[in-house]
Amino acid sequence: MSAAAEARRAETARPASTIAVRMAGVRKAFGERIALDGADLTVVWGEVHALLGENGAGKSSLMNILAGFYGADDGVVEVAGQPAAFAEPRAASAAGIGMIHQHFKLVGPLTVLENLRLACGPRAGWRSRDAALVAMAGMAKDLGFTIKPDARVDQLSVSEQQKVEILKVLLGGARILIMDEPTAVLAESEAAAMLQLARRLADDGRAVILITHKLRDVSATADRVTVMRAGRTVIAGAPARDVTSAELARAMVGGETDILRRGTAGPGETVALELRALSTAGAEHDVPLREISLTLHSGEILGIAGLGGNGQSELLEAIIGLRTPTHGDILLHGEPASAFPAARREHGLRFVPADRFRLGLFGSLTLAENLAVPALSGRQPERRYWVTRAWMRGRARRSISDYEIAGGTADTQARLLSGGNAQKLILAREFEGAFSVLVVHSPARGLDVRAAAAVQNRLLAAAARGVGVLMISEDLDEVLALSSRVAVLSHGRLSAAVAIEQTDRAELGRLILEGA
Amino acid sequence: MSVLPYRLVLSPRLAVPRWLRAATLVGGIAFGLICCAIFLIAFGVPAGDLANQFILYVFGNSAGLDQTLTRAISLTLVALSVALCLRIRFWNIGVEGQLWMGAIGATAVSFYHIGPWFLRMPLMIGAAAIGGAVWCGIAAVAKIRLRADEVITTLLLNYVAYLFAQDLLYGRWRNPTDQFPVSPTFPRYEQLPTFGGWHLHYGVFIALAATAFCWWLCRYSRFGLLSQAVAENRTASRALGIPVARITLTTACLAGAVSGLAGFSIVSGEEHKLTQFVGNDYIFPSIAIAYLGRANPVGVFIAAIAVAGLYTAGDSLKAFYQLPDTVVVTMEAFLLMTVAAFDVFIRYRIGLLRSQPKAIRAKAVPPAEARGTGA
Repeated sequence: MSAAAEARRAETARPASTIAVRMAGVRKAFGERIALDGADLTVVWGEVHALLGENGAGKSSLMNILAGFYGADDGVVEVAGQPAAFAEPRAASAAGIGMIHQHFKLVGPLTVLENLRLACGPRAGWRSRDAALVAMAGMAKDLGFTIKPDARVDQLSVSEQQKVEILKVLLGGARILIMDEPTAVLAESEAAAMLQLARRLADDGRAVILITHKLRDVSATADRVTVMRAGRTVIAGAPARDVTSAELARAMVGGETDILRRGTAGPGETVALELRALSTAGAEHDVPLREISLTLHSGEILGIAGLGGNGQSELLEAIIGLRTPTHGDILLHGEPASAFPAARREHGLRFVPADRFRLGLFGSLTLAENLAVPALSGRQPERRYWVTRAWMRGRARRSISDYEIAGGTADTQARLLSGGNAQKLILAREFEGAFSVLVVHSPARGLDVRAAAAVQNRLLAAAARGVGVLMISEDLDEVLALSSRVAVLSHGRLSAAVAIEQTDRAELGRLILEGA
Repeated sequence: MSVLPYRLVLSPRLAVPRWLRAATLVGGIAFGLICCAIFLIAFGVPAGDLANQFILYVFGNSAGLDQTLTRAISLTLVALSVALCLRIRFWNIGVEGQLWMGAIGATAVSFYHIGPWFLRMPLMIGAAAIGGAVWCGIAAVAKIRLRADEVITTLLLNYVAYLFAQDLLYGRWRNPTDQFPVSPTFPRYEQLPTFGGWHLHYGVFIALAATAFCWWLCRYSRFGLLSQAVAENRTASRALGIPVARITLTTACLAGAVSGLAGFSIVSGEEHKLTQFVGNDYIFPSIAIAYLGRANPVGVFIAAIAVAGLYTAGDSLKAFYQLPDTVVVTMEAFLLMTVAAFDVFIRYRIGLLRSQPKAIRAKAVPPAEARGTGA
């Protein structure tokens, strides 16, 4: 780090007399799920404040409350010393809070200038196109952006779109900027420039909250850092240079809590699934897989830990055959897997996706119909020419009682089920008949404790029966509780799998954050 | 904020009861008919004559009924074609082209004297079905292989089929005796029999059989359930091993075949030859009927008879009040729009809310002990 930056760092460590944001004891529950359980955050003017945490730690909930997307159930929220409870995002914007979302909120077919006028025309007081143009040109010049005002937004690159978002927020008068993983979508060089920009905006006297997963972003840019875990603040605004990467990693994944082992399944001898140097192409919003190799034995649960958005969905889709690899092989029971998902299914492959209604269920079909779909779609369907409602209902009733699916009968549309019951429905369907390889992705996500335990017990039972279970999970506790071996997926790369006894949270936390 | 004292609030419904669906459809049709009546009165049709035109002339006398039912045959078939495709979200805008190819196929069997006389009719039916199936299948293959939008391909294939028929009628197949651009008239054994003295022909049985087949297909076959799954979510279908491409292609071919049968029914049952006007003006009615019948084969059958009645009424309005041809299309459009608009009642619960909430009056809350004893 340069001497000048060092000096600036020292200067910005000023006493927190001018507080931009103070949130204390904030609580928020969505139904039975508690998202925030007494979270604290204090941000002062002129600083870049990093907000760290695993998926589901509550970072987004906290920021959504600050930005007015929803209200807190309890706790204190103050902006510039004034109590603030924003009824809607517009009110938060008016109070000078601007959020730059990970998935940009821009209107693709409109030009840059049209987007800016749409978002902040009245607030910025522009009466004409020219006024907006002058304001945009001034701000862009000041920040060193070169963006054509008449370019269509959907024809801009990702980093250019991000700059439009920043212009939008700043022209709208934001003094407190929330940047949600701004570097996640950028290439290395662009990411460095973006972090410099965050620094620069803070030096101008604004407050910048940087939500991030990357320890490097913290050490490079942030003045102070807040770490959240399970809805609580575990490190509250510590000076960034005083905490080490190892400390941050431990705080994030919870080094002190005991590992609750629930899994006992040991790997069998036979290989159920093997990936050899598997790579996929990266498209928009996708993380390409890079030379992933793994071996899954019958009867074991192999946990794939990592933060979401590091290639998890891509891995599941590649294994079930929805995504064609650019390189590498997939072997099912030692044979190259067919290109067709149907053939892989007939070869004993089952899956439970993270997004239950995108890949798992048909929302407008009934429970009975959802359960019957795979039984009818293979080469040997259970019935061909006379598929009656009564037959479907009959076979559904058994599954509904075995899997304790509540909140619906055989004739209920699947979209009306709660998350836990939808997950049980998927399990009931996937566990039907004989199968030998199971790929699951975040199987307990969004479920309450009881439902999560029920789902996890099913996975353990399957492994005990000799099924090879590949568990891709963004919840490290779950990975540690169930897996017999564990590997870490980070930036599309997979670390070598190690036995669960030979690793610990700190090591896994380091791999999750820094990659193999 | 609002100046009005009340505002409408739409809240999405989760489950929709069956009676509500039916009531909404009936309500939409009734409202559409009222709109039609207002429209016709505005054009000078005496209000008192409306009932006459719509009910008596269409269903009340044999000539009207004859015309209505005859027209309903081809309308049922083309609308079934659209409805089948709708079930997998495949937009078949090409029923005219498929109908033309069916008519051409049937006529080819007749023109080239293929097979002995007693097999001629089944062969014509088969050729018509294949002609239509190929025509719709091309669009399905283009969609699966090349991701070509079926709205464009099916639509444009209409013109190809039409021009192909014109080419045949002005070339090889032109009637040698009078040089008119029509094919030679079919011999009796190639004509569908009629019901003594009526225009109504045995094509009715084709329409009924097609309706029954489609009803079985949608409700009781494996195919019916899987196509519903494909329509709902193609990615999940593929992941679960449903042969998405095969289902798309099969549905398209079946739908094309049904349209092709409409072509056969017209050339063999009504025209008794291939003419230049066999396949005109079917695209819009086919979509309208499929929609009015909610893509349900039995519903389509009923809707087709109703729309055919509308055409008959339109004919008599044309004759008596010199209203233009387009009056029927306009009435169809009214019905379609009102039925579509009434869907909002299925999707949402509509409530009336006071914009300015009344000042909350403090209510006397009895002490806890009192409440406890009250319960």
